Amino acid sequence: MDEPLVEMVTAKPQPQLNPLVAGYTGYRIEGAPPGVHRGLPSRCLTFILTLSGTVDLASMPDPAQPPASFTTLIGGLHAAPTLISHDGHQHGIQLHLTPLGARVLLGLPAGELANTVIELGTLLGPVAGELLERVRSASTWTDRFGALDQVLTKIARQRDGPAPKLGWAWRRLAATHGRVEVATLAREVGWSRRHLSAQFRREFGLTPKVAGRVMRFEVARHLLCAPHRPGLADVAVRAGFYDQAHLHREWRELAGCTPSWWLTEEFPSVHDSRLDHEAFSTT
Amino acid sequence: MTPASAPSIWPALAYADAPAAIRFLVEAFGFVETLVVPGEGGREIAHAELRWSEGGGIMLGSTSDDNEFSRRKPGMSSIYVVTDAPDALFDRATAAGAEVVRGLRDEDYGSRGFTVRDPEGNLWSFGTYRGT
Repeated sequence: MDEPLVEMVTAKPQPQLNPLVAGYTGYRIEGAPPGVHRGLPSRCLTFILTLSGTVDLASMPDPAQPPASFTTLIGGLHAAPTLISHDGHQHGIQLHLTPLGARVLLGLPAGELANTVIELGTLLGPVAGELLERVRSASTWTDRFGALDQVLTKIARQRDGPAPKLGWAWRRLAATHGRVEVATLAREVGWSRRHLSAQFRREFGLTPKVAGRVMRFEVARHLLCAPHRPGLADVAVRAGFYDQAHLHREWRELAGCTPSWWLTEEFPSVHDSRLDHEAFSTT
Repeated sequence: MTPASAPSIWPALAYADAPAAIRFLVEAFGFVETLVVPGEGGREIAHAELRWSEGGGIMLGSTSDDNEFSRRKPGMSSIYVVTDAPDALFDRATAAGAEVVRGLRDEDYGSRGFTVRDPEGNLWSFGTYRGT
């Protein structure tokens, strides 16, 4: 049995949690060659509960933060790759937390976590331990996701969401997968471009321009993971890039490598594939 | 990902207690969950997909008043699954509490396998025969 074991399961949370968590991904990889996995930018915050082992970050989104290992982690939106070194064993659950989810479940705007990775307990206290214990003691993914549903429903509070104009701007940007111009967005909300950018960044952690780039990048990544993968030129056009060269430049910047390199080296990889289309249409 | 390509036939089952059924199918037989979609309210499963390591998979959901499929009476299905390791699988299934309907045996058509009942009554046959 030299074939590595790769188990991956995707799930949706209970409907009332959907605006807060776009999806769950359970993963278990055993016996793969040791290597480095790229945590790529997306429109969701990163929320990981390990089922065994740790997540070892070799480089943080903010180079000023030293490398660290985590049993549970939460990371804000980012626009550069995070490097995770592994020994061929990775086992855990990733929750795709929306900015609204950060407000309602963690009690703070996503912007406060921008370019940062911290232990979940720092924000959730003892609930972090309870979450970990519940998912680790369950024997199926279905039961683990069911436990997450229960605990998250319990800690969801009636809290203020982002300011209405900012929430609207985020949803508009997300609905168009980053294809609406920032000037248009500013006009639509009735703010100056500069004011929108500053407020947006404070709330979400990225400026609308960068968030739009991340969303287009995400669409391209999704197309690259599709069962019938289109050619790179087609991916570029469909994700809203001028051309293939533009797609390449953006990948170098946001992923630190070219799409072809990533496909060869990393695909299929646990944190990055099999998200439903639905996961892209959230708050 | 499972090494096998995507199956083009999926048996679809309904269970009164879908999370418990999934627990059983994973623990007793070694099915691997690949997708879980909860239904409205409580812990009801609207749709789940489980893969078989030697190829193929099943879909299942909770019984409910929702639709024609979820209203079906659970426990009425019979499914045959191909395995190259019937002996080890028999041990695993019985250790997990599967009710034996037909013990491990060699058939005159050259297959080796067994049949057990899942907690809601469906019959699961496992054997080395791959079809002609």
